[in-house]
Amino acid sequence: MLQNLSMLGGQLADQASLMTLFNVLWATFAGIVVGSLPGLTATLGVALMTSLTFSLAPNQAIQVLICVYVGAIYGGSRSAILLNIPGTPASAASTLDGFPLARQGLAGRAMGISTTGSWLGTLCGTLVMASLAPFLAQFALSFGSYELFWVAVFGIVISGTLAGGDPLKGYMVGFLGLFISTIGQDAQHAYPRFAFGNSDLAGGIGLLPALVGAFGLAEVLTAMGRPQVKGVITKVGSVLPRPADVARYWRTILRSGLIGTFTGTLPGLGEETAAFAAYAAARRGSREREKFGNGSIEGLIAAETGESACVPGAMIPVLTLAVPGSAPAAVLMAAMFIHGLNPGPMLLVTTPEYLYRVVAMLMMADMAKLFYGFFLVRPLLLILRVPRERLMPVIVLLCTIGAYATTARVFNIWVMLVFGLLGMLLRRWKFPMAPMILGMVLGELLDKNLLRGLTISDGSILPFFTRPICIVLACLTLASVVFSIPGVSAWLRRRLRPGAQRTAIG
Amino acid sequence: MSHSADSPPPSPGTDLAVAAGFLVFGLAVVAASAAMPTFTDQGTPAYVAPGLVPAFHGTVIGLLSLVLATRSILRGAFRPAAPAGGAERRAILRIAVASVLTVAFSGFMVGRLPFWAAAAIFVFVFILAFEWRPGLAASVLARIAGIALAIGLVTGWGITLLFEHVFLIRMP
Repeated sequence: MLQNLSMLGGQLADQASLMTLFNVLWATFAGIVVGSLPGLTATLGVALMTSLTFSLAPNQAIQVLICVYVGAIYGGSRSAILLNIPGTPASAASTLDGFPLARQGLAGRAMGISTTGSWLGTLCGTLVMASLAPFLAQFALSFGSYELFWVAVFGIVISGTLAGGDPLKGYMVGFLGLFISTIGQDAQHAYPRFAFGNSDLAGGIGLLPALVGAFGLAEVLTAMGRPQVKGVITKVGSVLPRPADVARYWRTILRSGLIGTFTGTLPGLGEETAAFAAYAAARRGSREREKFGNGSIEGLIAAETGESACVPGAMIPVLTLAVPGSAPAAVLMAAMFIHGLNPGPMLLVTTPEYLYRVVAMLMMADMAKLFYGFFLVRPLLLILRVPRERLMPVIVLLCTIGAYATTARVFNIWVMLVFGLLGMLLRRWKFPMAPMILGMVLGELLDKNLLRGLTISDGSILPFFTRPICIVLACLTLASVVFSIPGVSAWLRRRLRPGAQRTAIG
Repeated sequence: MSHSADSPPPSPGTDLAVAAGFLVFGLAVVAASAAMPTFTDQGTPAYVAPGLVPAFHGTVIGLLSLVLATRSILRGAFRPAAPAGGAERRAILRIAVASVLTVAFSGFMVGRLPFWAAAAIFVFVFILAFEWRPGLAASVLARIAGIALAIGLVTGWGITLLFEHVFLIRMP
């Protein structure tokens, strides 16, 4: 414990430089701006910034990306409260009570509450991460090829089931992502799969241009289809939170923080699910249930704490298993690979202090967010008034140059375009995007470990189903698929209901 | 991480067409995977053949698209669907205009024109296309065009300077 605290102290001291402070301040600000503008999400912000920070030193680049991620998730609540439009999908739950509070003339109080909840949420998630990740990493070391194969399959399936919308469509795009990851030379024979004689395709589809397209360009095109945003609430008042609000709802804050962190650790669920899960739990446990949806301080604080706690939560599987907990975390993980860091079980063995470096980065981003939350209200109101028609073409420029910048290949601009158009169509047909991204990220893990496992077992698939952790993961995967079938879940609900009633009567 | 909830859900007919597309795609992946060499003649076992994993993915995509097709038929894919409303048609038109302008810029102008010029033209045309309304007074249109030109030139030059001189990237 003392050793861990000393490592954290060492990392905080290491990070304490003027350059780091400068990066933290501008990157968190950029994140808040990206998050607060409807149509631009945290994933887009992190993906774009990955290409912009390509030339920075690895630690500085990851610090910038974490700040953008933390800032964007928080920034979404500004437009949720002032416009009734979530700046990012993660802030959808904040509109339920944030906007009614603003309409009652309490916009300042709502923003103060959201800032406090968000700050405490990230802090709670970061503390859980610092205490839990070393044990998880130790456990993950016992994972061999068979277990890692199931981790990848479970990640795709759970993301397809729970990422929102139709699980069937989630599985389809999850496997589409897995297929995309197989394009290019295979690891065993260096045979160019699906290249059709094209040397660019033989090099594979770059994750970053694909992400910039699927989340950046696709979001811009989708946003252009929406009607214009009107009616920003401009009367804000004091944004300083009341200590009584925090003291009164400490149980809700703690519960939402833990729910958010736990949701973050599940592959591909992300901040939106975390916010709604925390909101629903707060509503169930509240004495003021009738206020939820009509301007409940407790509802707003639960949603904000949940979504912000999810950010460190989503980093836990990145650092311990190389499996992202959310879409922005998937991009962050890709950036870590680009900068030569290898997230996964071995990272915390070879460089145990790296976990505390990430903890220190998250804490600094959290403090910057708190600072801006109390002192950056007026400039944000001005930014929210920028017409979408004038902002979006600039984002397209950044997507284009962002896709090109990391490898200076025009081919990557075409990758970004194809994924942008495909992403826009899939969104319109109600396919969730998270499983596809997870499939692209986890495809290599699945492919490599399946072949390695088969080679070790001399072609036998038995070890994939007989090792203890494999059995657990296979059962969880199967249960996740079975319970996502509407008929089965309805049958299960019918079976459980009379039982529950009998228990209550007995 | 969920999909956008602001457009209407697709009709069963649309789902059926999408499922058919995915089925064709899945079958094509399986066929292309089967055509790949297995390298068994070089002594490597068949289970590490390069086409094995993508063939599995293609098969699953095909099977899932069959489930989607069946479900959409059960939900009435062959019944005549209600025509798209005015708001939906306008949304599709706006997306189509944005897509065409983006493909024209990123796919065809970048690399053929200096980046700052391509960027300035794209931003100018994009803003003008989306802020133009029928019956707009000439003075208002001139003002919009002026703003669009200014934003286009500033962003075109600004981004080029930032990337070339700060991030040291050779522009396409």
